[in-house]
Amino acid sequence: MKTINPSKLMIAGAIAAAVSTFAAVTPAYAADVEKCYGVALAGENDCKAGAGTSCQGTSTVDFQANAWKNVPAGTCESIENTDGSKGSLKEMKM
Amino acid sequence: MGDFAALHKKFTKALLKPQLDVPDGLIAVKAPNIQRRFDVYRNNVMASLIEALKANFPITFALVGQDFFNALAVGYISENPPVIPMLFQYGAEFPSFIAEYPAVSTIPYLSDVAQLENHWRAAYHAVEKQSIDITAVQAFSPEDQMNLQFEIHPSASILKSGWPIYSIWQGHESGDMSQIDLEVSENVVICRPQVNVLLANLNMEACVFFRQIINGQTLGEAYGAAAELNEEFDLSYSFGQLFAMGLVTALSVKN
Amino acid sequence: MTNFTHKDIPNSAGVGLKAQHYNTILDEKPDLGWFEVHPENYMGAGGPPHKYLTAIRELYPLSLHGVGMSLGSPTARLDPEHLARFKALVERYEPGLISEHLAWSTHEGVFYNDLLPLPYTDETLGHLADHVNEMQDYMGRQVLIENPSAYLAYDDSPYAETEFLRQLAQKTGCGLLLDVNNIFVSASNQGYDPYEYLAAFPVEHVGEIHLGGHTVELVEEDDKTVSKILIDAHSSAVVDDVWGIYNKLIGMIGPKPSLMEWDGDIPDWKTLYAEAQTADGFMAKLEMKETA
Repeated sequence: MKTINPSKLMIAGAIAAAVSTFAAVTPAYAADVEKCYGVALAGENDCKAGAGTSCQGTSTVDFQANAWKNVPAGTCESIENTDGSKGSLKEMKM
Repeated sequence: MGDFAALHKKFTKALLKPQLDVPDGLIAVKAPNIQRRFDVYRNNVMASLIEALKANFPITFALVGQDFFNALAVGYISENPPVIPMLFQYGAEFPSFIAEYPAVSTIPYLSDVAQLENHWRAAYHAVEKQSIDITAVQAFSPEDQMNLQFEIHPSASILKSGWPIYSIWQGHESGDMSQIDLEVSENVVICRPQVNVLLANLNMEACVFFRQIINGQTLGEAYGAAAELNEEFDLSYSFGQLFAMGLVTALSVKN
Repeated sequence: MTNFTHKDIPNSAGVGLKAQHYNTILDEKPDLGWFEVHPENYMGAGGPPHKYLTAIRELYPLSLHGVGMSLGSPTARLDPEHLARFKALVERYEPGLISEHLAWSTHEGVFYNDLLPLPYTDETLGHLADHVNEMQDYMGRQVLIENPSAYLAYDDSPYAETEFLRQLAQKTGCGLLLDVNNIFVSASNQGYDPYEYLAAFPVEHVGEIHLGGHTVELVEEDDKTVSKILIDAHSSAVVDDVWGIYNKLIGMIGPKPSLMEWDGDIPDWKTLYAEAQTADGFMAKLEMKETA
C-alpha cells in the first residue's frame, strides 16, 4: 500500500468543488424545519394495563413458548440469497 | 424496612417467572383464582415490555415476525429487564443478545439491524444543535483547510457492518426487500440535524474518512487515511456529504 | 428554548397526549382545556418529542403525570436521578399540575413498567408519606396522588384505600387524583360497591379526575364458576357505569380538571375529542343545574 501525502492545493481544489456543488443544493435536512414528518412511535410509557391477558399469544403462559419452535417469519423471507434461496442463509458469513 | 420489603421482594421475584407460585399474603377478594389475578400483573409487565421493544425495533420486528420476535423479547426481558423508567431507551443490549441467540443463525444480519435501530433512536432523542453551512470553509486559506478540525453534531454516529444494513433499512422504508444482496457490506452514517433522522451509506474509504473526522483528526489526516485505502477516494463528494448530512456544527484550525 | 409561565389547568376536560395526534392537534388547534403527558416519554435530551410538546404547550396548559417514580417502593429515598429528570421537565414546561401514583414499579434497580399494588399498613403509610414529602420538597410544589386499579389485595392491609389516601393527604399536604375508571375496575375485581368507595373517599383533596376505558375478561375460578376480571386497558371508550360515578363525583365537588386517557388501540383524534366533550357536557349540565 502506498503512502499518500495530500497536498494542500489538491485538498483546496476538492473543497472548492464541494462548495460549488453542495452550496447550491439546500441540505436535505433544511426541508424538514417547518413541518415534522416522521413522528416515531418509540417505546412509550403509559399507565394502562397490558392488552389481552387471556387472548392467545399474549398471555404470560404463552410467553413461555419454546423459542426453538419459532422460525423467523417476517420480511426476512423476501430477502433473496445469492444462490436464489430465500429466507435463510446457506452459511454464516464471517 | 419491615414486612413490606420482604413481601415486595417476593412479589417482584414472581413477576418475571411464571413458574414460581403466587407470593403468599395476597388475596383475591370474593374469588378463589388468585393465580389468574396475579397473572394480570405478570402479563402487564411482560406484554408492555414486549410492546416497548417492538416499538423501539420496528425493522427487527418486521424481519422476523410476531412469534419469533416475542420469543426473542421474552428471553431478553428476563435477562435484561429495564433499569430506568424511560422505555424509549430500553434495548441497549438487545443487539448483543440477538447476536448470541442460537435460533438467529439463519439471519446473521439481525443483530446489526437492531444496532442500527439503536443508533437511529439515539439520534432521534439527541440534544439539539445548529449545523453549519458548507460555505463556512471559504473563510479558511488552503493551508488552514488542510488542518481543519470539525465539531460534530451530538446526534451523529457511524455504524460499520459486514451486512447490507443500509439496504435493509431502505427496503423496510420502501416496503421492498427483494433487491437486497446479502454479500454486500455496508457502513452507515446517522445524523439528525433537524427533525428527521438522516442515514447515508458510506463505502469503505468514505467510512474511514468520516470516522477520522468524527474522531477529531484534521481534514488532511482524514483524507490521507481514506486515500491510503483507495486512491480513488472522492474527497469532494465526502466533504460535501459531511455538511449535507448536517454533521458539522463548527470549524477550527489545528495549530 | 421557550420560557413558559405557569398556566393553571382549568376545571374542564383534557386529553392524554399521544404522538399519533401531534400533527392533527397542531393543524386543527381544537377547542380543549388542556393536555397531559407522561414525563418519562420526554426525558430524552432533545428531538421531535420536545419540539411537539413545546409547540403544544404554547397553545394549551399542560399536566405532567408520572408513572416511574415508584413512590410505594420500600426504599429509604427516591431515585435522585429520576427526581432530577422530572424536575427539569417541570422547569422547562411549567405544568399546571403534577401527579404520580399510589403504587410501586421499581425494585432493586429494575423497572417493571407496571403500577404494582402495596398493602395499606402503618408501615407503608409511613414510607409513602416520606416519599411524597421528598418528591414535593424536591419539586417545590404539591403533587397529586392517584388511586390504582387493583386485581388483588393483600391479606394484611388494615386500612381501606380511601382512609389510607386521606391520611396520606393529611400527613403530606398532597392532593389526590381520583381515577373513576380505577374505582369501577377495583370495585368489580374486589367485590365492593363503587359508590360506597366514593362516599368514603376524601373528595375535598381531589385536584384532578381521570376517565378511561377498561376491558372485561372471563376467569375460571374452579370447575363450576366463571367470573370476570376488569382490566384497566385504556383501549376503549368510557362505559356508562363509569360516567355515572363521574357524574356523582362532580355533583359532590363541582367541575374539576377531567382527563380522558386512551393508551391502547388509539383512535383517531375526532373520537378522542368527542369523549372529552362528553366530560365537558356533564360539567356544563351540572353548572346549569346550579344556576337554575
